[in-house]
Amino acid sequence: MSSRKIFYPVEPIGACFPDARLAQAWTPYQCIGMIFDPAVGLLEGTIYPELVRPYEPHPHIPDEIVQRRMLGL
Amino acid sequence: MNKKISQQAKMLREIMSYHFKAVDLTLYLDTHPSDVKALAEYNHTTQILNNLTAAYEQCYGPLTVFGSAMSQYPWRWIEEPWPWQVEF
Amino acid sequence: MWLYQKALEYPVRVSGPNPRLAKIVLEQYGGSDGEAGAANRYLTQRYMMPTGMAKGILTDIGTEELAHWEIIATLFYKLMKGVTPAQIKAAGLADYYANHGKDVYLQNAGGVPFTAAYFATKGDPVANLVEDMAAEQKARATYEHILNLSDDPCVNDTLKFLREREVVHFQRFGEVLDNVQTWMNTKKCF
Repeated sequence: MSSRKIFYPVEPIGACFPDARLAQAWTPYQCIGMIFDPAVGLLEGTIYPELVRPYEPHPHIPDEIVQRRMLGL
Repeated sequence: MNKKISQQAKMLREIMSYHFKAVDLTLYLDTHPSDVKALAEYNHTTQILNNLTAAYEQCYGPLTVFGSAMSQYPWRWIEEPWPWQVEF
Repeated sequence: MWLYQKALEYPVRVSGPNPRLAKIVLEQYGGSDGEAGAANRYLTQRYMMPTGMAKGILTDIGTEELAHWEIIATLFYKLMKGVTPAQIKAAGLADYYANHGKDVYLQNAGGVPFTAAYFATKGDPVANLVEDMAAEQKARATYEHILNLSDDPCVNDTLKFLREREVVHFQRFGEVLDNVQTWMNTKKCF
């Protein structure tokens, strides 16, 4: 189908858990950078390039399915 | 796969892309209320969206009711196609 | 109060009728990790959240999940459009059709009806938010399974969109969890 761009996630900057304690789950805060144009964002599923996560098939998926994935099916 | 889509679907698609940008910005602002750049971007997007919506509603009737948009006569809200019927 | 906008969140297209795939996508309509479960989970958890940020995010993501719920129903509607009973029988949907015709029904891909037992409201903001993060991961994984089963590239565009939304929602819930945990760590609770 359309040529898929590869996005390399940038390491998050900003608050790095100043109040973190043991036995709690903490998530890095996103810091907004550039954002996609609306039409592109709609196709990507988000306007934030750093949150784009294209689907890579699980390594144990049978070869014929992997082939179909690579053919864009 | 490049079949012609209707003028209505084209206008709707543009609204959907700006609306989606506003949705993603809304979620970001909910957790980043002090982000000046994001808020400016959200307000700018909302302005564009309001204009696109007004233009669409002139041609095809209200996109929202319950008091948030007006309708020509006769009541256009019930007109087809409904969203799940639109061919893109 | 909810306002309905007469437009989908994403332009849903299908390549053609496909009752086999229609039944599979129902997993995200009325399944345990589907959009109806997500919407109800977030919209019921929001009432007792301790911060405005948590109430806001749960309301907004819950509302967006309702829009996704509509998208799945649209997929089903379009995939079943013009399908004959003979084609339905050949695709293995005779039992569904006998009960529901071509109506969309709140069930998973295996025919199990939706239930509130699929989600929890635990009376604890941290437990609720961590459940929400787990729900987003389960939904993402389910979309990946459905992508593996799908043979329609148009449907895949919609599925990839919905899968990416789960990734974004996970990030937002993580940020809200940071906020709520900070609030709880600094608040004196008696």
